[in-house]
Amino acid sequence: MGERSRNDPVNGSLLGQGDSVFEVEDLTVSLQTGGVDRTILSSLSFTVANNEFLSVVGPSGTGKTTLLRAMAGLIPYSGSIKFRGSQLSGPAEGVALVFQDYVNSLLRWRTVGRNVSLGVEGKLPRDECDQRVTEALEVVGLSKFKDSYPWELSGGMQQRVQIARALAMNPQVLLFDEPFGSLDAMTRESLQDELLRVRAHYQTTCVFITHDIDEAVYLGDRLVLLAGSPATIKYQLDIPLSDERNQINTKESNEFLRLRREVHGEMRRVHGTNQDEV
Amino acid sequence: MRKVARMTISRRDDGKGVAPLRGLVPLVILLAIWQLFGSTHSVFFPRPSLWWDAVVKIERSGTLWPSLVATSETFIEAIIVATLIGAVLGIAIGSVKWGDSAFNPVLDFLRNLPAAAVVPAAAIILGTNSKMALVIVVFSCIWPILLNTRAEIRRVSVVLSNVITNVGLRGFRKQSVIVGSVLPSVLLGVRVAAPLALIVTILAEFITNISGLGSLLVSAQQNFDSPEVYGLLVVAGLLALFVNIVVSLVEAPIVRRHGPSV
Ligand SMILES: Nc1ncnc2c1ncn2[C@@H]1O[C@H](COP(=O)(O)OP(=O)(O)O)[C@@H](O)[C@H]1O
Ligand SMILES: [Mg+2]
Repeated sequence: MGERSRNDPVNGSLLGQGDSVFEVEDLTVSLQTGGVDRTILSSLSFTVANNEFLSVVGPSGTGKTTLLRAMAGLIPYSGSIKFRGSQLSGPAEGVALVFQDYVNSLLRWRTVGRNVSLGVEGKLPRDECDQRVTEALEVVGLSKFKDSYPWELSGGMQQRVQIARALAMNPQVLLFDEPFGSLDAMTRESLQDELLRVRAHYQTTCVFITHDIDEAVYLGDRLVLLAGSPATIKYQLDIPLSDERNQINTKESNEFLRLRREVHGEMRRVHGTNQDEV
Repeated sequence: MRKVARMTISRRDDGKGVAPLRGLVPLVILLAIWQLFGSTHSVFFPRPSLWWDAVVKIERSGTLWPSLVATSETFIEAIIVATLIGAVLGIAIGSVKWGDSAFNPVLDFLRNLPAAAVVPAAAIILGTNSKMALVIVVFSCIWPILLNTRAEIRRVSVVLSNVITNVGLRGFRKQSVIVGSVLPSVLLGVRVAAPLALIVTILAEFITNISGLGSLLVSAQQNFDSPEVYGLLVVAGLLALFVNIVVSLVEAPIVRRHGPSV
């Protein structure tokens, strides 16, 4: 998959200054709730480096989904979001979302194959489209289910279909919104490993939202903690775990345990402050 | 796991088309008893064999088929118009945030208006003709379709619009994805609307005397021709049954593709 690497001259030159895919500065998002403007995100600044896996953790209801929707260009914002060097205004080409609600994100009346082709059909020549679908399904291990309907598959498999749909678009960045949040623990762990494998295969930059600290540490190269109302970045952390991770050895390593303890501590501290405020 | 899912679905669907016919058995038995023990001269309960004679008589006079065709035409046109308008309005109202606050009072008022009460107003505006009947029928059977579509689009619109925007669907592709996702709900609405539409079609013919099954029934009743009344009742019932079967047949493959409802 060398030709897909973002470090080759062609793709590299498309990137803006430095090696950042996203440069978020002073991002503020206000949404209307019952006629009243409410600030959900307040003055967030962070970057997402090329080929980085950024985990975003935070309690539910903080504004994680809102952040992701802003980064995908789905909602208006103030401040600055630069995607590959240029200001984001409107839906971003090259940013693919994976939603938590896989049931409603997949089209029930389309086969798995036709769901995966949704983002490329009509935009690419037919045979290239087919090739993308075949490759994406192969990577997530669903080749055999190309002609099944989503509702015939288990939850974990449906989520893999959604990931394949995003991959088929050959995106620069994958944005995940608590994708494994509604799956059972065993399925979640196997999908985590699969995601790491897929990401190594496609060399894609990932922003992964979750409220599960273990998951955030296990998957990420770096972690951002979002909390408060309005939400701000409370804490950032590099995760210097090796690239070769697996459920048993990594999760039992001292480094992992130390990192997770640190994040838990921060979360408790932040949450405590919150309750004082209320 | 796939096999199990397929089996349960198909088993449920297989029975669907046949069930109404099997369900007719008690009715047939009742009619047989009626035939055996009924009287030939009863004004209120004439024997079923007399009904048959009466219907044959109407057929001979050449009014049965044109009436059936007229009723079916109004009915089918109304269902098609109501489905199109109901689905489009349902999607439109359901997908805008202020849709409910803007339209709910009007919708609540309109859908609670009894069809019979609307007839005089429609007759003044459109005259007593089949076009007026069509308007009345559409007006009274559009609600299950419209409200069901609106509820479904409201349920899925946030996720769906995020998906549509993120994968970059535009124009026809975008519309077809939206329509596809509400299709089972539209069809469920049609299932409820179809019998309603038939009732109101016959009712409109009743009131206005435009030709159709309804006006045949009225004239039979006014002539105290009770075998004819019963005979026409059976014809209307058979038409309703036929409609139900047709709707099921159209619905089944679409619903099967969408899988069991969530
Ligand atoms: N479309 C919207 N309009 C108004 N308020 C919203 C909207 N979406 C989310 N919110 C509010 O923003 C806050 C953050 O929501 P969300 O981003 O979904 O949080 P999280 O994903 O972290 O659970 C919540 O209080 C929610 O009520
Ligand atoms: Mg969320």
